[in-house]
Amino acid sequence: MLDVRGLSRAYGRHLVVSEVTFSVERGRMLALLGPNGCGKSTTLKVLSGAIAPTSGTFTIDGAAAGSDTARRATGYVPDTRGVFPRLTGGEHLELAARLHHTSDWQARADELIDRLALDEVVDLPAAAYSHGQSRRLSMAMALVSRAPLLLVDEPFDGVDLEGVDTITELLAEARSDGAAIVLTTHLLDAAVVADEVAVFRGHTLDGPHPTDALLAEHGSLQQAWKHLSAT
Amino acid sequence: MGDITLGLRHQLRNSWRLSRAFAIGAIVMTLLMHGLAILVAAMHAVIPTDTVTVEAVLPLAAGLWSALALLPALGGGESDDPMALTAAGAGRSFRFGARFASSLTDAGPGLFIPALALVGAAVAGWPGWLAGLALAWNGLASGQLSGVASAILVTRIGPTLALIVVAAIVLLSATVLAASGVGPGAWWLSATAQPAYNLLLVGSGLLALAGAWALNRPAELIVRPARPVRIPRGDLAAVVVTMLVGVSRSVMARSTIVTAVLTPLLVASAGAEVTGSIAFFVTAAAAAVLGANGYAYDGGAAVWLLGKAPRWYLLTGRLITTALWALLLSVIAAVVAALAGAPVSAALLPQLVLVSIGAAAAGLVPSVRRATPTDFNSFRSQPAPVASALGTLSRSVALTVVVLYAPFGLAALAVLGYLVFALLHAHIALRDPIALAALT
Repeated sequence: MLDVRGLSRAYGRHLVVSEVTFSVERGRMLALLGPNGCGKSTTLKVLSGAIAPTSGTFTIDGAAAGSDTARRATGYVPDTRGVFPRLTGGEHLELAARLHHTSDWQARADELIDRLALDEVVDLPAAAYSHGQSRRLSMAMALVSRAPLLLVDEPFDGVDLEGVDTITELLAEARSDGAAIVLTTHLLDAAVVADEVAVFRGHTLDGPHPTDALLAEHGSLQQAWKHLSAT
Repeated sequence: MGDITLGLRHQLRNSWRLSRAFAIGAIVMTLLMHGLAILVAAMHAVIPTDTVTVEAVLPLAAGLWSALALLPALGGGESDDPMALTAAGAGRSFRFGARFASSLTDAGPGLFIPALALVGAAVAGWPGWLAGLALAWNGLASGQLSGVASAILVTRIGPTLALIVVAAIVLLSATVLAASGVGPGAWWLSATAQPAYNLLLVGSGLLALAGAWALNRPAELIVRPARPVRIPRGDLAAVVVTMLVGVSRSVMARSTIVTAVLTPLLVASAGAEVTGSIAFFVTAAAAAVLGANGYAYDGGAAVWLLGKAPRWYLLTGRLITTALWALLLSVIAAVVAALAGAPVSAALLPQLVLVSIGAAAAGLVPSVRRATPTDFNSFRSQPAPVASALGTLSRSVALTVVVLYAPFGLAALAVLGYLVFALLHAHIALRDPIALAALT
């Protein structure tokens, strides 16, 4: 579904992502781990089409990076608020669905609003949302069109415990429905659900490694991360 | 095409919610002005205006075209957070539609488009009215292209150089407009007599729009190393230095410097006599941009949230920062005007200082009550509401006119009186600064 080859990105002379290569099949979830500033969010920004790679290539479901086909196949949760201050929650979901050319979206939107506990604020402009509510709305936007590729950047940031559980469930369901998922998080307990884990060392990527194998070898993802970061 | 329509609708809805009262006022004013243009065109044969020739008003038409072509590159209009657009799945066509609608709902087009129709109608009747509309279309479309060009250039050569390059291209086009037989100005001149030339204006506008569609891409944050600045120990000095650093590093503030250089040159290139008074109006306009766009430019919101600075320090710091920046702009504009042939005297300096203080005071209250997030490092996201910017500009220009035409002592009294009023008003408004807190 997602095939990334030698992807690099620099801001001016500052190299943030260096020669990253990985692929994610349908129905699989990859967790990208690493310290702040290592290039996790930049990698997802490039894959989402928000910024261009400095070098390297990637395809989404065989479509070239930046094409309309690739864009419509992608659901993206950015690490920022990523919402329109003057649109209501419901309008956000409608906009996302229409831009993905999804016709049958209303029932899915209602379900997401209910499960992500946005029903009380759905008719309010997003400027009135708390940080956690903005994150939930961003999650709903990514899921409303049932995109076959989900790029999810720190989805648990600022979200309460119940919300973390709901988002984890929704991601698991999307994977069961055949979506390929790339997730970044510092919440290692939540990253355990991923099929594979890759760790940024400096600005290059180590992995992906099967999660089960890492857990068997190191006991926990925290230990695995420390080991992979250090070596 | 569907995504373009979605983008247009999205941004029109945004603008409507941002400032409904302004939108209604702008629509009414646009309709009235355009109605006047139609009336003038209809009356042209009955009341001949032989005293004003088409050639004589070309500089005015060229200036209005330049404003339409330049605004989207220097900022202006409303654009969304690039990450929100990406999260929603926005592509090239949506962005194109949204940016076009954003330009349509900016302060300029509502005024400039009917003004061009009116100018054409006044000098050439119905053919002039049609040519005015065609020239406005061309300027609007060229503006989309210059906006996209500036967004591309900013990632390659940095924001300051990008602004200078785009502004220079528009200046060059304006010069060509006024002086040669090639370009929209010359076509407009011909179209007032032979309507077939309108096709050239409309066709080249369509080409510019196609270019803007093909080249447009998401706005990108530009991160560059900054030279560290030492923050002084004194509270007020620390606030002022922090704010000055913030302003000097913002792209919009830099664009005001480009404006200060460009305005006298544009006036001169259009064939009109350059005067020293340009420095006053550049100051008033540019300080209004800084004032209306709120504390986000100067880091004042962050200073307030730190809770270390008393309200008076915050307001005084903001006043000093904006006034100093305005004074710098006025000096730049005056020097450029002098180089372009204007008689500029050092005796103007006290008045420029007064105008700078007035312009800074004009933006004080709205920046507290309706502070808006702005983008420090790249071309913009979410600038001040148009109504707020126009309100600040109107107060600033009104004070400037007082300084220009009243005796100095009386003008100083008026400006300082308004300053005291603005400070007291802002001090009360800042007691519960929800707007500033919302910036973080």
